Amino acid sequence: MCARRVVSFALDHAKYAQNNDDGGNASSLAPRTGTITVLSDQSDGKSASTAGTQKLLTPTSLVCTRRASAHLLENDRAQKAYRTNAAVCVPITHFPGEKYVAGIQSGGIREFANLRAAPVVVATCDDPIRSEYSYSQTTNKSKGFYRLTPFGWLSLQPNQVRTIANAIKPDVLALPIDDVPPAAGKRRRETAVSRTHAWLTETLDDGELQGDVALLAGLTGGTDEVVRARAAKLTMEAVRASSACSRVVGVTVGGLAHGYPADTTKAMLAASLEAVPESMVRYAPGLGAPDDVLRAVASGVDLFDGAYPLTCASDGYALTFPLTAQAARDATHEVDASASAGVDVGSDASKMNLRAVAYRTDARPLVVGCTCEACSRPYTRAYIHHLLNVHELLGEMLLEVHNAHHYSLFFEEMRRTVDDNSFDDFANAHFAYRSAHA
Amino acid sequence: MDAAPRRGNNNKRRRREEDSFEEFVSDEEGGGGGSGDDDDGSSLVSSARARVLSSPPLSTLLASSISPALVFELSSREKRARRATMTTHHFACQLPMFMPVGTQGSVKGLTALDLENARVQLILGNTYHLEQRPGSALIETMGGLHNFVSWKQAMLTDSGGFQMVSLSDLLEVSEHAVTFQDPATGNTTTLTPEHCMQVQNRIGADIMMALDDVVSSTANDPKRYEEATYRTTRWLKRCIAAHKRTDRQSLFGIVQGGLDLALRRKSCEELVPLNLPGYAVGGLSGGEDKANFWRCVDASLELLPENKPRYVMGVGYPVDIVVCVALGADMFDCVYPTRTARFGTAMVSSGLLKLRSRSFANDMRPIEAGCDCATCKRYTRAYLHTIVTREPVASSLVSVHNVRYMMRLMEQIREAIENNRFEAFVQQFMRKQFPRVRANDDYAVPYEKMEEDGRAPVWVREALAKAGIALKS
Repeated sequence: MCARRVVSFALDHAKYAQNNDDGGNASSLAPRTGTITVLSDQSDGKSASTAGTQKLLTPTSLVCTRRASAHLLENDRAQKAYRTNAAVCVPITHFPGEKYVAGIQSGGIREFANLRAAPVVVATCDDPIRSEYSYSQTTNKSKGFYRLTPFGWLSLQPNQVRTIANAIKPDVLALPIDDVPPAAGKRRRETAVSRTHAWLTETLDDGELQGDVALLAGLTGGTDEVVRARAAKLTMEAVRASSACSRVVGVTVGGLAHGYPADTTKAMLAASLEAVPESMVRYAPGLGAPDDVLRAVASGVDLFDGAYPLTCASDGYALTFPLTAQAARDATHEVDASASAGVDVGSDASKMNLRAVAYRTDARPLVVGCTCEACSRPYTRAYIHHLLNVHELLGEMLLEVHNAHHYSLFFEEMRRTVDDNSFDDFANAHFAYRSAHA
Repeated sequence: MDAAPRRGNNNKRRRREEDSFEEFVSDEEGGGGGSGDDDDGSSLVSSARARVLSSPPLSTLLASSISPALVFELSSREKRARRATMTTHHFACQLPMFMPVGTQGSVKGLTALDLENARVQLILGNTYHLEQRPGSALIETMGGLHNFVSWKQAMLTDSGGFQMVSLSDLLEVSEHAVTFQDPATGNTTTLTPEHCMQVQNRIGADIMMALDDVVSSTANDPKRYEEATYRTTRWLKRCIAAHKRTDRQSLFGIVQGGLDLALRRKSCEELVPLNLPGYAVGGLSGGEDKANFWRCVDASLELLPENKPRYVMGVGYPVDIVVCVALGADMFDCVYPTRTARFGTAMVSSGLLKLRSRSFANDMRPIEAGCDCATCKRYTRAYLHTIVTREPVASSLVSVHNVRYMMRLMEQIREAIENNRFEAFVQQFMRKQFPRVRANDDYAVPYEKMEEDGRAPVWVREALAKAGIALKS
């Protein structure tokens, strides 16, 4: 038998309540740091690596995986790139049924796919990388939901979700959400709320879920703040009323992945989080670009889906935005050499387009002084440009390593600044830098 | 030139070498160009040179070869198999060795760190492909291929000759040059021996291959083979004249001759007097019958000098490598271990694991018990079964294993020759590859069909018998 793993969440720092003027429960909308702790007992002697306590500091991102491997990186290499402070996201859509989990033994996905070093394994019902395709594809039958899986479009039933979760044994399971397409009308929004609610109560009450897996309840409602607020209230009532109440350690705020303007996103987050106790983890899939992440952290979000550094890598971009307030201020007044030379390198000031011929003979690492596996060797921009040019797998691999490292340093700096009350300064410096180079 | 100690019965051979060394040194003065890479490597060759010159000869059989950029020291032999050290500008390679292929400046799916962890000594680049993209001029600007790809150990560049076979629909060969057509643009590229040397000098690998006229080994065209053999010699002479960095890079000649043993011998006779730092056997491993393959390797290796590295090109099946080592070869290259990994096939001592097969769905063992590669330490066959050929990360995971498998195989071969138990090693190796009875849970499949009586294939037994190694029946 594998070790029991018990998940808990504790807030470390949330002092920004007074700076928010959103009224109501303003404390919900302040930047905060916390710790997700996974306690495991020693019942399994041979997997010592899973015994003891593992901690995940928030805010942080998940590691996107494909069939439980971190995209192009071996899982240990990925953990190193993410500085071992990233939860691993295993979409259940990658194991969409009994036959796909048949080979997973009692140790769950953690043992099976060498996720032993990951502090937390989160199973989600959406694949963050494919999420944009999923929202409109809910079946009309009230129970199941359609998802794009590596095996094509499949209809999944809520009880299948529990079967799969029982096999892969994640630490946390994010329950399914019926997401609402931007153009949906009122009735569609209401249906989404009641469906998501039904999936939650069914899971909480039927006792089919084995082990100590913690749950994230889904919040939906589209862009309609009233519907969102009611959905959140309904969800929290259902959680409190349930005997499995203690399983629910947090919420997933759904519906943010459609590229809404910053104000809309902020209002949606506020409406959803108003009724959610401070002590719950808040996961907001669909937000990933540094600007979005900074705004969401300012609104009190703890977890992000981690698709951003990967999609950037597969598009040939390296993340290069400044990682401290000071660096952002210094770079704000720096003249962009390529822009002044009239060279279009096809990128903005937060990332570098390695496909651009401007890097053909550039002997610098992606970010000078970066300590990631790619930059410290050093692999040069010229070499990575060449690798992308000839379609070698290594090019995207190296970008993935670098982006993961850069992204986790970004979260590290956000946690640090929240803890010493300088988060606003960091965010402002970042936005000033971004607008200077827009 | 330092006064070299006289080496007993080797006087004649040594004197010949010194002459050639002198030739190389005088060549150097005309040498220009080349990439400006670091200097520390040159001490590697000179210290190896000093060691060879000062150490007493081990035996009459163990001759060593010195050229300005390469020192070859034969340290032990068993029958025809040889154990040697080849010191190049960047690295002292332990022979026999296998060299993974990084055609376009990257061994597919592996970082340089992965390769170092697998204890790879040398990686191969391909002149034709590197000249297409990113171009040798750019590589030179970036400080040579070593700097460009961030690899500090030895490198070798193939000449582009093999592309005469692999891209044969897109080219024309004449006495002057090979003309390639770009499949995407239709533009033509001309590769002359002189241009080939210029490109390889810019790339700056430790070992360069001469441009040879390669004819597919399945062409069955005696006239074309003959033409190609003599043209290869003529082109080699042009290559020698055009090679401008003899202090840093060593040029190897390539024996051709198709499947005709007389032509092979003729080719050797023409090439050996040119006194190059090393020789390769080319034009094989192209799908010819194994009976022809080993006889051609045998005929060529018999005539190539004892005191120089011998490289059999394009060989990557473990069985073939063991047979060629028994016949006296030192170096091998092939894309096979990494290519087959991308197709989901892992290499083990009892053959091949086709990881797509359902039999691995619940197999919780590593690819090979006792393998020290990063993949075997972390992943089971069952997990790999779920991702091979579906997730790109699987190509990296299985490639890590296969490359390490090849390195371990070569380590075992080297150790066996050192300890004078190579014959026993070969017998044991072949028994594992071609077992009389397979265990129920051994899902490996052999590289090639075994004989019906469960013995190793006839060509393996014949080749090994020629090398003086008998397989017990």
